[in-house]
Amino acid sequence: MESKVILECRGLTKTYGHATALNDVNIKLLSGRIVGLLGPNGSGKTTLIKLANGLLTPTSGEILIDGHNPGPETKKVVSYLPDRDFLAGWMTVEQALRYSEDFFEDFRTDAAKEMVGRLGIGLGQKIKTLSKGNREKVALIVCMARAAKLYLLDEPIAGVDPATRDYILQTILSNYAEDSTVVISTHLIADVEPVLNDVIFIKNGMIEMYRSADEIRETENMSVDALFREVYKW
Amino acid sequence: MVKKLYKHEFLSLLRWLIPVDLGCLLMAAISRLALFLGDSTPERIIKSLTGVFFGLSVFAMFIIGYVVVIRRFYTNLLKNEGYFTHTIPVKTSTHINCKIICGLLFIIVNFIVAILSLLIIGAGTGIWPQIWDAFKKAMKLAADSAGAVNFTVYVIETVLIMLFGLLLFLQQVYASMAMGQRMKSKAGGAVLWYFIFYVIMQVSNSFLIIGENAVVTSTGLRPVELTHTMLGISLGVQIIWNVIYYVITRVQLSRHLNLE
Repeated sequence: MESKVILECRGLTKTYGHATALNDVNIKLLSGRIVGLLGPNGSGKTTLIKLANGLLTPTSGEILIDGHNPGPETKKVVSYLPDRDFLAGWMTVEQALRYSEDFFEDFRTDAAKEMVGRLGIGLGQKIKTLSKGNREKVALIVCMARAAKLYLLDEPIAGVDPATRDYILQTILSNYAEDSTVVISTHLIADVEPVLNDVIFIKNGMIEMYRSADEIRETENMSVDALFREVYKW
Repeated sequence: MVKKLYKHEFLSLLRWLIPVDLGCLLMAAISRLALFLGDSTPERIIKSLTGVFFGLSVFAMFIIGYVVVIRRFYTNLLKNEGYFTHTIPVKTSTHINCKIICGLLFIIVNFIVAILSLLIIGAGTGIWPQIWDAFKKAMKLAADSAGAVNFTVYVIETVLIMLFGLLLFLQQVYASMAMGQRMKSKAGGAVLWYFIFYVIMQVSNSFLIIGENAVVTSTGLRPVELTHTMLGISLGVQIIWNVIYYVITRVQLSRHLNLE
């Protein structure tokens, strides 16, 4: 299966006043890969993900999703999991799934209901009555139940217990299509390393490194987590 | 896709519209039934209290209506729900149009319910036909004496001014929130920008009034003879402000969205 470029940044820069969040980023992500977007807090990970979703506009340069600038056409093929609660608390779990089904043609309602059922969460339960962990799981299900070309997951395992982290990573692996790309933004490297194909190290808004995880382990003789600690040590 | 956007917007507003409006109509019915009571002191107290509660229910209906519409815009587009809303595959302008149209319809329904509730209270008393006849006679008298006011056109102009006025308030609030969302305190920023817009509008309206007075003086006509001209100018100014606020909201949410 031939890989194609699903996300491309050309001289992408984003500034907020005098602060530069992203500085001349040039990368190409191929289809069918699980990519770790790794960096400390404030390195530009969330900014890059928001630009890809059209939630921010570049200061200069451009970002292309499947060859198009972010807009209604790219939003049809991108599934986004933000790093905060986005589901309306007054909705029930079923209403939240139907809400997503109504707006995204690729939403797999049956798969979503099955995943919710396996968690022991009732479809009639209101989102606001769920525990934090369960809300995050439902949010992840809403994201991964789509048959998207590109999944952008911003800190999906931060702030949850280890069992939930395992569930999240397992759900990611078992629900994305072979030719889809998953970008996982995180600073918890050790937990996600086993699932990553490629890694991007980002620091102060600039791409430090973009390599295959296997290549790092073979050539550097260390894990991605260990290399991250080396690159980002104070 | 757009139909579904409107469907979900209506469903979200209906959660509040139905109970609040039904409550108002119920209070109107209770007040009407209370009018059948006698003249003993307890019965008169009940009549007064039902009247007071009816008045409060109408007041609450309008306040809640505006709060619900404005809050919906804020939470769905500018707070955490915005992370999902803005990734729905439609343009930002489609979201804004949906909020404006549904919000305006919601408020218009509240006005209709208020009128219906007043009709319920006056039902069977014969008071409303008398009031309507008196109103029509007064309007016709004013139109005949002026000689230059077309009653039908006057009613159309007045209704349009009321509609655009309702829309203008909503748009001013939306534009204020769209500007305020770029500041550290979104709510504080929205209030600040609302006052800034309010002052600018008041200043421009003052110049408009001065201009209108100058026109009246220079033409030598009686003000009532310039009714259609003045109403037309007022309507035009309202439309211009509506467009300005719409552009502000659209530019801010398309190019400077801040969900943090």
